[in-house]
Amino acid sequence: MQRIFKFCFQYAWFIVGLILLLTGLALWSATHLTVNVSTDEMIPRHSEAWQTYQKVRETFGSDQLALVYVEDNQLFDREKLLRLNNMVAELRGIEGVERVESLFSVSNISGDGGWVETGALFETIPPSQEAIDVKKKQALKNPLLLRTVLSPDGNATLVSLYLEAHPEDDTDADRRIYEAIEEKIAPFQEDFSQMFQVGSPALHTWMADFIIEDQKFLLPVSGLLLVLLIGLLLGSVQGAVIPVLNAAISTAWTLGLMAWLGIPISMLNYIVPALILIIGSTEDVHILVEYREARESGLAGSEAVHFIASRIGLTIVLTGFTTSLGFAVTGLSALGIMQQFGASAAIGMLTRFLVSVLFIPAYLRIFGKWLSKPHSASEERRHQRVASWMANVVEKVLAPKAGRVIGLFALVAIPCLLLIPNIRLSNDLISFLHPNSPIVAKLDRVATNLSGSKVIYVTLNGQPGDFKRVENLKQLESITKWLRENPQFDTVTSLSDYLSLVNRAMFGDVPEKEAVPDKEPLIAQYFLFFHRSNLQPYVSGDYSQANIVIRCDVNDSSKLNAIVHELEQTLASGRFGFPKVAITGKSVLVAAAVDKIVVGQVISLSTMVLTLFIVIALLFLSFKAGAISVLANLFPVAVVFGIMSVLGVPLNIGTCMVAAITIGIAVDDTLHLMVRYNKMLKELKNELAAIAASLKDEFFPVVTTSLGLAGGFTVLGFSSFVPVMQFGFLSALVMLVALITDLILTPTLLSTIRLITLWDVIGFKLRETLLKSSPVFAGMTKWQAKKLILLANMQEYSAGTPVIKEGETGKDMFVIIDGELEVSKGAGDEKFVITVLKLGDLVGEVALVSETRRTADVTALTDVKLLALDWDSLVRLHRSSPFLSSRLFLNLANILGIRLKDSLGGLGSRAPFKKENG
Amino acid sequence: MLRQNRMTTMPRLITLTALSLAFIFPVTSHAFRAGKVKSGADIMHEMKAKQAADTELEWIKMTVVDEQGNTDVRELISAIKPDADGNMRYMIRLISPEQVKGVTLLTLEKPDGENEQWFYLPALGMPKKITGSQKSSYFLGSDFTFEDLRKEDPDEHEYYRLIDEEVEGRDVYVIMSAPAGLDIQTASGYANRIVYVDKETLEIAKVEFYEEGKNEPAKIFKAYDFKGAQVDGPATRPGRVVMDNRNKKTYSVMTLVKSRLDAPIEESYFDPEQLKEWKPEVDKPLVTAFDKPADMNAAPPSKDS
Repeated sequence: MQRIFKFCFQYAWFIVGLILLLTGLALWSATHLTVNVSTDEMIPRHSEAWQTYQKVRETFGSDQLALVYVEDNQLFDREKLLRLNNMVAELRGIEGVERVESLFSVSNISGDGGWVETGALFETIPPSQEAIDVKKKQALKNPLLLRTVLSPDGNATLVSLYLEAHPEDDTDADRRIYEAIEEKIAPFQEDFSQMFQVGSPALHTWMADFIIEDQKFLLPVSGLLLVLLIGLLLGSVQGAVIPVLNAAISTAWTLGLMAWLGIPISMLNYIVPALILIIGSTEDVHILVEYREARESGLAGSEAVHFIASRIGLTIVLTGFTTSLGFAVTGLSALGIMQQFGASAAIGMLTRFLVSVLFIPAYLRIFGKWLSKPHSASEERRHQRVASWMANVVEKVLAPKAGRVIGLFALVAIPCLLLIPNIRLSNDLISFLHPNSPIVAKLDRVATNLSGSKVIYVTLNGQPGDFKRVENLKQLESITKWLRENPQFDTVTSLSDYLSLVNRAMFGDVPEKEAVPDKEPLIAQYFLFFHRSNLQPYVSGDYSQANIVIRCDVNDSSKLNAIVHELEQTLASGRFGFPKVAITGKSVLVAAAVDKIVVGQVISLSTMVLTLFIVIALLFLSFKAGAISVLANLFPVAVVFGIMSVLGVPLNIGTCMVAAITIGIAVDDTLHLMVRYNKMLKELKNELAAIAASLKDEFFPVVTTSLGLAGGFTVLGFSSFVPVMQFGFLSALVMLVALITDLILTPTLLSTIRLITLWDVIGFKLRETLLKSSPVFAGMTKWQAKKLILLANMQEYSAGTPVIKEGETGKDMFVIIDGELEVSKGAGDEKFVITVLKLGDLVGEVALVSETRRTADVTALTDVKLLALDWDSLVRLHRSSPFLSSRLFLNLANILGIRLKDSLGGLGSRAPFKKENG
Repeated sequence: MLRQNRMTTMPRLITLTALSLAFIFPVTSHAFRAGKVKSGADIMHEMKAKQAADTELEWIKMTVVDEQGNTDVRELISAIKPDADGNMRYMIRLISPEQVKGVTLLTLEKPDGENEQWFYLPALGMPKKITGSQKSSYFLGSDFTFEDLRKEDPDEHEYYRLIDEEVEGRDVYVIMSAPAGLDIQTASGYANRIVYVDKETLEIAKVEFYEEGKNEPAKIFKAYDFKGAQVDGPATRPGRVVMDNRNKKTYSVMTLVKSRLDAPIEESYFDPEQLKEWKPEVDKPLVTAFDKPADMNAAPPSKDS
């Protein structure tokens, strides 16, 4: 990292030029981005259910509807009907429309002078108003028309356009159809008191428009908020502009890469630019704070940049990795929309990391000298006071009572965890809209007066010709009637309705005759009244499958799933004789995908936690460190789940991202604290002092970034999309909880362990002879010996410095890691050198087991490095590294035993500190 | 006079389908006449004269093909004979498949222009008199509606001869029929039709049905195989006609198994009272009048040949 920083600083103009070039390329590529808000992305592909749906759709036609709602008190006025007919004719011609259901096409099966009329209610508009009124009365009695095409009061009608499936890469299809419909209905708006379009293309187009509207609001506001927050906290305008500049560059890169990889903008990943701005700024704050410190320490230019890299280079890499991972794991879902989000957000975070490490050093080279001094001295002192107070509280109050602190947090977390099963699940496009949105009002109006836009297909499977047979058609009729009893369903239509109505018509429109006839030849002869296409949605070409079409307005996934489950159970029970039943439809698949959200949540969260644990444990060579980082960051997630449960916020495609992403973000501060703690431990040797000092240093950036993130996420809370809104508010909340955790729980937990890093061990030069010569390291590998030395206190003395003074009490035992010590006794002004201790020798071992007076002076002959062990440190070592400490204890027991034996044997000897090698 | 009536009344399935679509264009005062150039009306008159016959007995196989390629095959016999007063009588009877055998539609033309129609479903056992209009219904579940085959009121349309063209290698006259007013257009469902008539044989080749605002036809009717058709009589008939329903993405094919023109037909077939007495044996004389049985196992015909 230091090399990268140095290079970018040295070749600042080259880097700036390169970034500009790449940004230009990315922007050009981004012009090829597409917007895809299709519900298909909310359905797991290649599943069995998807295949079944495709087959059913192929056989019975589309269940995707574009709807034109027309309302007028004089709807059946001849002139209005003529206008309506013209409009329907226009709509029928739109490319991509498979078939149209309207007053002019749906079968109005009626007995008409002995003949059975199976044509549309209005194949032509009768010339007299009286004849039209007769038709209206007929229509209001016709179950095929009522609520499907006509409202029960006869004042509203629905023109349903069944849409062809369009290729997956044709992301403009919905907008094309929506706009074509709008264009066709526009000349007729004046003819009716109310007319509007709803349905799938309209919903998707509105959603896409919302995305653009959201961008216009979210990006500038979150940018402004960040500038204000960071500017205020850093006290520097330039300091606030840098994150915005970085975000702009990385957003361009991300969008360019998305276009290049063929990832469209969807209902979720459109917030990626805002996330880049919000989340990416945290690293910039850390870098700028370090730069400020470097400048205050009198460093400038490349030295300052070197200072930053050495202090937080590792952390920047780590946090870049964990944040990207946090986003990437959200893509471990069966849902396309989640995969697209995971991929684009991970790209966003990676590019953000790249831009930060490349651009900031170059920027500082060019503009760094104008970076204003952030705070006045008094302000700085105030900050320091708050940080010191916090550090003091942790050091003096919390850390010594770590058990109680952990218990307190557990007291909050456990009830939250217990509430998780109560969280509702949702995967419904309409529920993504604000309840008071005009779109929802339109949908409600259609659903109230006619029927909902959800289509469910109940498909019964048999053998070819089965649905020409009386018994099967009778059973179909029973199922249809049973389904019609369900108040959740607005309309239920099946083949049995067509046959029943023909039968009724054939017998003079007597209601009692509205039933499937008992004779098979009569059924066969009734089929002659219909064109194949009339029956296509209800029976397969070879009469082996019958399809019942249900329309309803259930916009709650859990509710819809429960309904479908009940249907499946009842039909599979054999009550109606058809064990092979498929219940499908796009709405059904989307609702069923809530399970995938839960599975995706579990996978992403566990992947995140596991990876975090492994990375931290490896990095700090301690499972405990891994566990602490995971626990500290799982706490805010547990709290958020608890809040979701209490407030009734459902787990949907938006809220399911909160957990993994926030861990990925919140762990950044934890990592900063851990790395700082590791450094402070080396300096201060004492855990409590080290954690207090670390917290004092990190307090300001941690608070700044957490508040900045919370503020940024709050902006997302004002999105037009409910899942994004919920994601924003919950993420803001989790950031605040994470802040509290990072200030209280994390340092308290950290204070119970000593931290060394992988790099410490790798970088530590241990002489081979030490291992061979010192009994302390007997039986240890070089790696274990290094780890032991780094975990314990290592003390350094320059030549001539006293290490032990005769007569003092002490509790440390020393092992010489490097250099030589002289052991001497003073007699008046004379000094009597007893011995010279070399590499691997130990001294003061008795003090380890019993605090005792030192019996000789020990002075550094050369510059020395000593491993200092006392009882407390051994206890701590035992806690953190039981395996390693057991080896050490064995060696120490051996040394002390030999020492005892020698002492007993040499009583009266004048050489109590005999040089000992084993 | 007799022949004139015949060509402007109820459908006669294959013949009538082909011819009525062409013959519906009567002479109007607006027809274009200039020099030696034939007007649309002139062409229609010539065609009518050429296709005329006294009685007609046809065995037709009708295949309905839906979007998925599923087929429904029905066979029927069509009998046309005038009564003593010259009023035309039409009988259409299904002879297969088994379950629809005997289904009959009987149309008796009356001098006042009000046709009397009877419909008989053997499974019900009683013939039913139809008093209303059924023009919007599909004809036996096919892509032909009664409207497609109905007599056209010349006052409701205007005819224009367009530039001659070529259809499948044949030189054809092109005639456009347009509704005379907006109401008629709206009621009709078609904005206009374009008829293609073979110049050499005066046989209809193609009719395109256009809806309002569309550049592509909603339906296309084609007549094929005039030469190959088995016709006993003085006129030609198409061996196959196809109605390609572009809106529904389905099509129906009527194949002429055999046609007997000017053959004797028993009066009882046109008696509504006799319908309730129907048994499969009743149709024997009709069936034996044709010496070629229908091939029900043949592959479904294509709409393009």
